[in-house]
Amino acid sequence: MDQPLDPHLAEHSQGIHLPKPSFTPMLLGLGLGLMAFGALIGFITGSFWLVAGGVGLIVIGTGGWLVGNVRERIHSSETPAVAAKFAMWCFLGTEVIIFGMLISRVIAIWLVDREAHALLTEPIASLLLVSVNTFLLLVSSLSVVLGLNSIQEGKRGGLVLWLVVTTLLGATFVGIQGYEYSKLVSEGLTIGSSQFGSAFYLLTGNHGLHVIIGVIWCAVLIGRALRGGFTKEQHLGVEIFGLYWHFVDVVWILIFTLVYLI
Amino acid sequence: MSAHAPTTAPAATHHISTRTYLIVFAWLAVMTAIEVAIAALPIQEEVKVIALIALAVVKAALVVLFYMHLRYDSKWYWITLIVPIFFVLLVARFLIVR
Repeated sequence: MDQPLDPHLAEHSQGIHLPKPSFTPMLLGLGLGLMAFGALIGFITGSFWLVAGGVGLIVIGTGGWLVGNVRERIHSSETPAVAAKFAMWCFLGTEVIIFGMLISRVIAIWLVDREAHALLTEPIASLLLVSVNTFLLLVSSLSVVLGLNSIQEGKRGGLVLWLVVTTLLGATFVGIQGYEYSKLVSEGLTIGSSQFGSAFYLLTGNHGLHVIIGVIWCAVLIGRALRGGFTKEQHLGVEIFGLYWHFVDVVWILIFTLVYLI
Repeated sequence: MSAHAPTTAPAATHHISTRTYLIVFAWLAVMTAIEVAIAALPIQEEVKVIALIALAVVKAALVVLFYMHLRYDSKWYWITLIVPIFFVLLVARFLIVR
């Protein structure tokens, strides 16, 4: 390797680091396409095997991308914190549009289909169940920031503890949502029962998927923290995860009010 | 330095006191309880809708400003939020108000 003559020059001559070529983004794209195509075919034929295949490709693609990314970060210099945070905010900006459209669609439909919408809030026990779920997500947001505070004070044990709490709260949220789905299906609100059912499950299912991804991400962070991956000075991964998790919380705050309460 | 902890600019992160986080959480919890109460009460529909939307916006703003640190971070991050919100409101206006 050439030795730089001037140390100051060496500092600025590292160039742009590019990750290694990977086929996983293509798998992810293929999976998303297959899932959308499979859903279209499924609504016509009643068979959703293509959707399952698409989901499988998405899981493999995302998992492979995640593992590759973690390896890359371990063996190379990390993206500057400001750039990483800005990238996350840009990603969240795209999520704002996706969830904004889905929420708008649900509202537009229930304005003309009040009967289907009433299934969400009547009896009042249904509303209480969703309120409990809302509270769980709020607590999980608190646990993430308390974990961030812990590692900022150099307390790795505190970080692990609060991340475990976050994982458990997120998993409980998904479990309660599953229970709510089973109740709604038994009452006649299915994805195919009405336009409202389709829009409702698309919105809340998409949010639930985000929670599941967050839970998996949080579990990965716990493993990294246990191996000493975060310190008082280096904890960008926790902060980036926090941005994602709080965004998922914000989306639920809006869903809770605009879809369930009003 | 650990192999798992590459270089990062510490200045890009913010340390906010636990007390602030707890106060924000208390407000979020109280406002959620008020929302549920308003939804269950037999009050005028227009008042209910305005009150619930106002509470939801305040709650979302609290999370974004304090938990997501937008209050303390670069003002450039606001753009990534305001631009998509503008487009969502634009499209929602045509979707909902038909």
